[in-house]
Amino acid sequence: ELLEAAMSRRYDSRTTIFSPEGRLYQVEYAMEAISHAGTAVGILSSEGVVLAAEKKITSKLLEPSKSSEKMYMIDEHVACAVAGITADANILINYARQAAQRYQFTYQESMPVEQLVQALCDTKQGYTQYGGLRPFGVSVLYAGWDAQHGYQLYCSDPSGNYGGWMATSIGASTQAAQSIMKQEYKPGEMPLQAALQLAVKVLSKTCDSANLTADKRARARARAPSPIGL
Amino acid sequence: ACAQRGAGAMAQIEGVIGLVGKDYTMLMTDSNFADSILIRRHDYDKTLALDKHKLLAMGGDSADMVQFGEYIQKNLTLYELRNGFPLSTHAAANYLRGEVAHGLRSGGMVLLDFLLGGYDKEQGPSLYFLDYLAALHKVNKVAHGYPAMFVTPILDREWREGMTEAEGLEVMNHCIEAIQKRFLVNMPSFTIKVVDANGVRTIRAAGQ
Repeated sequence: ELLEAAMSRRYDSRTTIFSPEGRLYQVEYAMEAISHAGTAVGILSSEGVVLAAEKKITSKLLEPSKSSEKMYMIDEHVACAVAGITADANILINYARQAAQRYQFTYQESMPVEQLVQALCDTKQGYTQYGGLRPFGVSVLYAGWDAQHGYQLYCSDPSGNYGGWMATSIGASTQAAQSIMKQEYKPGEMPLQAALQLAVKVLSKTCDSANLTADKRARARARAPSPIGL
Repeated sequence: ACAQRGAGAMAQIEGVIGLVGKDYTMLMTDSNFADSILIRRHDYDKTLALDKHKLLAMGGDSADMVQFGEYIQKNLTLYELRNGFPLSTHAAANYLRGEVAHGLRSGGMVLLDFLLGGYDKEQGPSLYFLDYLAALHKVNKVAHGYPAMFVTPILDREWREGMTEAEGLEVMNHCIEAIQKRFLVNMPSFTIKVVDANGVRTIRAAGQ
């Protein structure tokens, strides 16, 4: 076991290399970085999508930021929550916003949510295969609405894979969050209020602090056809 | 590129006419294939089905008609294959406009006037005017080319909201009569097609 671990280190330094066991270590290490970040959950309801995130206060001396480091509006019909390296997330958010506007410019219509997710994921994937650059240390939850599929919730990770979800989480304590949501989420029977309450419940159970204050949470709700309430 | 196109002036000769009916969009073009002062064919189809519910009628450079028309058609197919659903008529019209606009300042000018007729489940039938300078307008009735001078008064007077296919066809026939009576260029035959909920249908084939 020790020998295998030592040998696998040789394959770490280049992201564009598989390990002998068929793994991409840099991608896995990126996911490890994300597992220390503030939790974010997303819950799909028939009346909208809820995103809730824990803002980690690293120091009392930090000035309260005018912008959020967890939640962003990509376009009027899509918002996202991020977990991981904030600087990496900023690059991806900017890319997503440009992709959405480029689509709008070409077609004079809002970009369908899944296509936006795919555009971002294709970018992330590129960093696991070309250029010798490290992957983005960010997982993203996307909440949006479009005419094709109504309300949607997607989750992507540093590998560039994504999935559509009814309820999911990223960042720290995802196992605990997922097991709570698995028990409490009722497909087809989640009005917006119930989704909001479940989101708060999950965060309060997985959050470190004893009590949950408003500034520790950032919430976004997507309602058709827009706007997004942040 | 403009100067190279000797047929540039000739583009205005071709007639492209369209109108929106109750639950369909009707497009008509003349069926001449002209080369300077010679008409080589009287049975040329200047329309192209872009997908099941979109019809593109064109007038102008015949090489562009094929090359650019198919380019748009294939890109629309690619979108549908990638995403599992087709672009709306509105989105397709704006995409088309962007491609024409791009050509304007890149040495690859597309010397064509277009009418895009489409049918969407929610919006119903729609008609988009697009000229070779990339001016895009959503309209109920319109025509391109010299024939438009003879046809616009007829469309203005006879078009009504919610016409049946028979009524629309009657208006188109009046347009043909006016062109054949008063326009200097001989246009013996016209192509008439319709887009509706069932797709694209030929009312009068090129050359009939």
